[in-house]
Amino acid sequence: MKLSKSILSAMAVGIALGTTSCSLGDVEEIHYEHCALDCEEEHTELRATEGGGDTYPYNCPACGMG
Amino acid sequence: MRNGVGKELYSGISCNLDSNILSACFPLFKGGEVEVIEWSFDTLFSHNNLPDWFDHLLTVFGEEGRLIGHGVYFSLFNGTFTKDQQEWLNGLRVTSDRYEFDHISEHFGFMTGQDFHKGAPLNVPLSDNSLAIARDRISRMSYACGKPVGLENLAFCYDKEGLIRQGSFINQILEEVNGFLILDLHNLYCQCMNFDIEFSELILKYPLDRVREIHISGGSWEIAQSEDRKIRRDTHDDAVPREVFEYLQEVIPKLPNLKFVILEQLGTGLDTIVKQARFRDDFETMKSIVDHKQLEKPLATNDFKSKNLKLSKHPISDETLAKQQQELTFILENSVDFRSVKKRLQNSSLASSPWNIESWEDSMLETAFAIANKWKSGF
Repeated sequence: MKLSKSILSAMAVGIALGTTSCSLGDVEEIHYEHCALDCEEEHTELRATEGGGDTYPYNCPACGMG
Repeated sequence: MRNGVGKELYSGISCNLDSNILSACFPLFKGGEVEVIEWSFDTLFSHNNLPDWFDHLLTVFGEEGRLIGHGVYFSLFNGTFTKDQQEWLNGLRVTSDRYEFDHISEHFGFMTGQDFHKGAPLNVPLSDNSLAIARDRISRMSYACGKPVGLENLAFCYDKEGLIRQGSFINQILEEVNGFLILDLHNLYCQCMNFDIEFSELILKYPLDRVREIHISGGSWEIAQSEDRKIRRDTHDDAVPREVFEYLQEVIPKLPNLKFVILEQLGTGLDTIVKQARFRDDFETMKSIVDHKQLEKPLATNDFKSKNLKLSKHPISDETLAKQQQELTFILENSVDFRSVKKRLQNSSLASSPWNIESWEDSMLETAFAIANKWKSGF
């Protein structure tokens, strides 16, 4: 299912920051200092870090309790 | 597409607020490959607010009929109906009003643990009393959410008799609400490995016309010292075994009402870039099988809408069953080793009872001991 750029950008910021304070208005945070003001490039590659899975206070197991 | 009929099978992921899972899945979302998300709505019990972007994600998938809810903590077979269970139902009602779930599901079994949000699911005696309780509880789920409701088969079994009977027993529960079955193929893989039974034989024990959703995942092997043998466990912390993909290919043409196929993995098993890439590879393999096999799936025959829902004024209870569940939980969570577990059980109220502990396999009791201790403090 195709998702809009705004959702993807907000997800990227939310995941990377690992906080609950993200909102759909945080899109500009994914651009770099050298980007033009109207930059439309998506800088949304995520930083998968070793052992970085506990940034959310409520990481949950769902199933898999076996 | 099939003769003008729209797409009938959707591939998705178990998507919860876990940074590793979301990091692993993000490229799939970005590529538009995730067709449905399954959210365990009751795992955020201690947090009232979702991040805006996650709320938006759930809303967008829900509006497209691509959001499904999967509960963890209701404990369907709890002998008594607790205040926590009523609050869970109240929460389900609120959440179902907020998000457009296509269906809601829970797990077969009762939760060990002294606390509502601690413990792990284990089997109960497959008796008339436990059947009546499960029917009562799933009716309350149906009433609370107003959506099709279903149950997932459990990986764990104490003995082969319980394994053979689980499918027909689940069917008896589901009949009450025209419910659906989540067929977890890794759970069946565990059972095939642990009880030396062929998959093609085992699935015939299940009501295949009730399968609306499939789960696939990975797990792990552990040594049961009591019998010096390997036990397969549904730990969701590794890649999907080749056999489970083969099961998926084999079973889709047998499931007329299948709609969703979901890949599950715990965030703890996705803590490196390599593991996250392997998760995406598993998703691509799963989706390829689903897309390829779609044409072989018979046409759907059941919408799983509940009809003539009957709800008793007071929830059904069985004090004896509740006491035995508490006793079993206490023994599993508070014994020093397997020998002690076995000895205490033999001297408990579960001896010579419908629990039939005398036929439980040592290696599976040892596994229950390990599972209960792994999850007794929650997560």
